[in-house]
Amino acid sequence: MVKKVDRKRILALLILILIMIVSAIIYWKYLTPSVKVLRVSTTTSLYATGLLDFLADEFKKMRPNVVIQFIAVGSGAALKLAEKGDVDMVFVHAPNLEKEYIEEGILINGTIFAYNNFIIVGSVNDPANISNCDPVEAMRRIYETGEAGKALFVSRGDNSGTHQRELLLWRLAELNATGKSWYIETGSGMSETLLVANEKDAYTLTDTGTYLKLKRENKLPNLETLVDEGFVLLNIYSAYIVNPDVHPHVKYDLAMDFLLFVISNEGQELIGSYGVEEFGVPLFYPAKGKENDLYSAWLWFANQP
Amino acid sequence: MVLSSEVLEITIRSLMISSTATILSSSWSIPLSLRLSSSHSKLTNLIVSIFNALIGLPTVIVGLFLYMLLSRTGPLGFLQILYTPIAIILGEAILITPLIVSLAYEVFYKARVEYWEVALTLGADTYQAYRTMLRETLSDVIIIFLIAFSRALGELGVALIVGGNIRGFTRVFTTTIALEIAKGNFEFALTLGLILLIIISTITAIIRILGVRRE
Amino acid sequence: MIELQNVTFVYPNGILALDNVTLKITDEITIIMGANGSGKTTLLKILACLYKPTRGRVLIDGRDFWVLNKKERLKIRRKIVYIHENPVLFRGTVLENIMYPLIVRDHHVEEARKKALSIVEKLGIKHLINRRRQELSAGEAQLVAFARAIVADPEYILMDEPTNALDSEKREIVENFIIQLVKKRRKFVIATHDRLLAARLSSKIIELSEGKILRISSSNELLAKIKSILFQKDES
Repeated sequence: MVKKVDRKRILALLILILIMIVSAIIYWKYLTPSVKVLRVSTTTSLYATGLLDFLADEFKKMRPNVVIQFIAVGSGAALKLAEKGDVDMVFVHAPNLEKEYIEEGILINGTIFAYNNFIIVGSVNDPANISNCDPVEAMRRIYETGEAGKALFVSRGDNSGTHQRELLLWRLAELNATGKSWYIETGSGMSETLLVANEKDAYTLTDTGTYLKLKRENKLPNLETLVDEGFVLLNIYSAYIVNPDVHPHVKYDLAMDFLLFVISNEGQELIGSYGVEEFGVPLFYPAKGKENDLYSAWLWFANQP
Repeated sequence: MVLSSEVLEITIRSLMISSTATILSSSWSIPLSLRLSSSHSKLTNLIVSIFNALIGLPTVIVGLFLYMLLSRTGPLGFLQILYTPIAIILGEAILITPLIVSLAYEVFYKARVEYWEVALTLGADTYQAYRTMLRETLSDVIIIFLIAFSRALGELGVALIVGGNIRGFTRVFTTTIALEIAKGNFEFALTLGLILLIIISTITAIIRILGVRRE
Repeated sequence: MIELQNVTFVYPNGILALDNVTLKITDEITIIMGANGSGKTTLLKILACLYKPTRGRVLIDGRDFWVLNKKERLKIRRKIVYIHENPVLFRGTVLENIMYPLIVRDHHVEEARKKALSIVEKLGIKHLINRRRQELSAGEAQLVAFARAIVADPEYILMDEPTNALDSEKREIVENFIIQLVKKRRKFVIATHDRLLAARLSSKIIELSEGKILRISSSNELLAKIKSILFQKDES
C-alpha cells in the first residue's frame, strides 16, 4: 500500500545515480593510473583486416600497462578526430587527405609503415578484356564496354580511401563515370560493395584484405582478380602523431613508442607475416628498405587534385 | 568460436550499458512525463509534440551531437569521457528520453483522468498522488522500460560515434555487428544478431510472466 | 461553505461546460439535476477543487482556493471528497483501497485498518475486504468507493450518480448512511437523474441545463410535482 512519500527518498535516488556516474568517471580516469591509454583513429578497412589489433597485442606483450584503443571510422573522420584532439595517433591510407592535415600542423612524425596494392576485380568472363593490362587503360576499357551496355562498375561512393583512389583512376583516364547507368554507387563498405559486384557480374576496385577474405569464404564465386599491378594501384599506409603543440594532452611519448615499435625490425616482420597463415599470401608489405620510393609515391598521390 | 569469451564479454557489456542508460534516462524522463501529464497548458502540448518528433531522430545525429559536446575541443571535453562506456550510457540515455517521455506521457495522461483525480480527492498530496499513479501504471511503465531498453540495446549510431567501438572497452553488440559486416564475417554478424534477439525476447518473456502474476 | 462566483469552465477541446455559474452550498444535501451533458460532473469536480475554473472563483469557507499555496490547498481538499460515477479503485485489495485516505493522511497502518474495518462492517461489505477490483460487481465497487470516500470523515461528500449501479438493498444502505452522516453535520452534493432519490433526500435542488443554472427549488416542490404527475396518470 502507499506509504507516506518522502521527497528525500526520490532525492536520495537521484543523488545515488549521480554518485554512481561520478564514481564511474573517477574510476575510469584516476583509479587505473597504472594503465596508460593510447588512442588511435584509423580507417574501417585497415582496422577490419585485424592488423592493428595484432600489432597492439604484440606491443602489449612488451608494455603490459599500455592499452591501445582503436577508433575505426572513415578516412575523413579519422583525420577529423585528430584535428579535434580526441586521439593521440592516426593510421590512414589517404595521402591527399593526409597532406591537408600535415600542412595545418595537426599531424607530425608522418611515417609510412606498410603498403599493398589495390586490385581491380571483375567477372570471370571479363567483357572489357582488362586482364593484366595497365590500370588506367583498364578503366578506359570498362568505360567503353559500359557505354556499350556490356559491363557494369560498382563504386564504393563513400569518399573512403578506396573510393578516392577509384576517382583518381577515372581522372587519370580522363573519364567521368558518375551518373552513368552502368556505374553503380553503393555508398557502403568494401564487403557490401564486393557482394554487389559479385551479384551483378560487375567490376570494382578493392583492397586485397577484404577481397581475399570473402573469396576464401566462397562468397565471391563470380569475381576474379584481373588487374593487380601498376604504380597507381599502390596503397600506402602511414602513421602520424597528433601535434602536442596543438593538443597538449596528446600522449606524445607513448605514441612515439608505439610508432617506433611498428617500424622496428620486429614490427615490420610482424606486418609482413600477417595474414600469410590464413590467406597464403601476405596482406601487407613492410615499408622497411623502400622508404624513399614509397615516400616519392606518397608525394605524387598527395599532390593529385 | 561463436560463444567465445569475447562474445560473452560483449553481451555483458551491452546489457550493462543499455540497462544503465535506461535507468538513467528514466530517472529524469519519468518525473518529467509525470509532471507534463498533470498540466494542460499550451507549453505542455508544445513540449510533448517536440518529444514526439524527437523519437524519430536518427541515432547518428544524437551521436554526432554528443561527440561535438564531449570532444576534447568541445564544451564538455574536460570531462574526458569520450570513447568510454559512460559516453555511450549518456548518449543512449539522451536518445531514449523522447521515447520514454512520449510513451509515459500517454500512459500517465490516461491514468491522470482516473487515478490522479481519485488520489487527490481522497486526500493525497501531489507526491502521494504521483506515487499512486506510478503504482497503478507500473505494468505499462515496465513495458516502456523494455521498449526503451531494446532501443538502447539495438541502436548503433551513438555507440559507434561516442563509444568508438574500442575492443575490450566500448565494443557492444551493434558496433561489433557493424565491424564484422565490414570485415565480411556475415555469419558471425548474424549469430550476434540472433543472440541479441534471443536476449531481448527472453527479457520480454520474463517480464510478461512476472507482470501476469502480479495482477 | 463552498461558494462558486461566476464560474465558467471550458475544456481544453473548447467545449463550454459551465457558463457563469454562481452558487453557494449551504444545505445539508444539495441535489444537482439535469440532462446528460448539462455540466453536472464538471460542476461537482469544480466544487471538489479538482478542476480549476477557466474564469471565476471557488471559495471554500470564504477563501479563494486556487490562489492558496500547496499546503493550504491540501488541507482544504482533505475536507472534500468526490466519488466518480464509475468508481475508480486502486490496485490491491478492497481493504487496502479503503485504508488509502487514512494512510495518505499519515495514520498508523493498524489504526487505518481498524477504521476501515469498522466502515465496511457498517456498510455490510465485510465479505469483500480481500477481493481485488476485478472481482467486484459494479454495485459492490460503488459501495467500496463510498466506504473509501467517507472513511477519513470529510466535511463535504460529492457524489456523481451514486445509486446508479446499486440494487434496492444497497441503495437503502447508502441512503441511510447519508442520513446518518447528515446528522453528524456532513454536507452532501449529489448529482443524479433519480428524481425519487432527490425527493427523498434533498432540501435543495439545483437544475442545470447547458452549463447554466435553470432554477433552484426545494425537494418539497419536487415531491409535489411528482405527486401531481402520478395523480394525472391515475386520472387518464
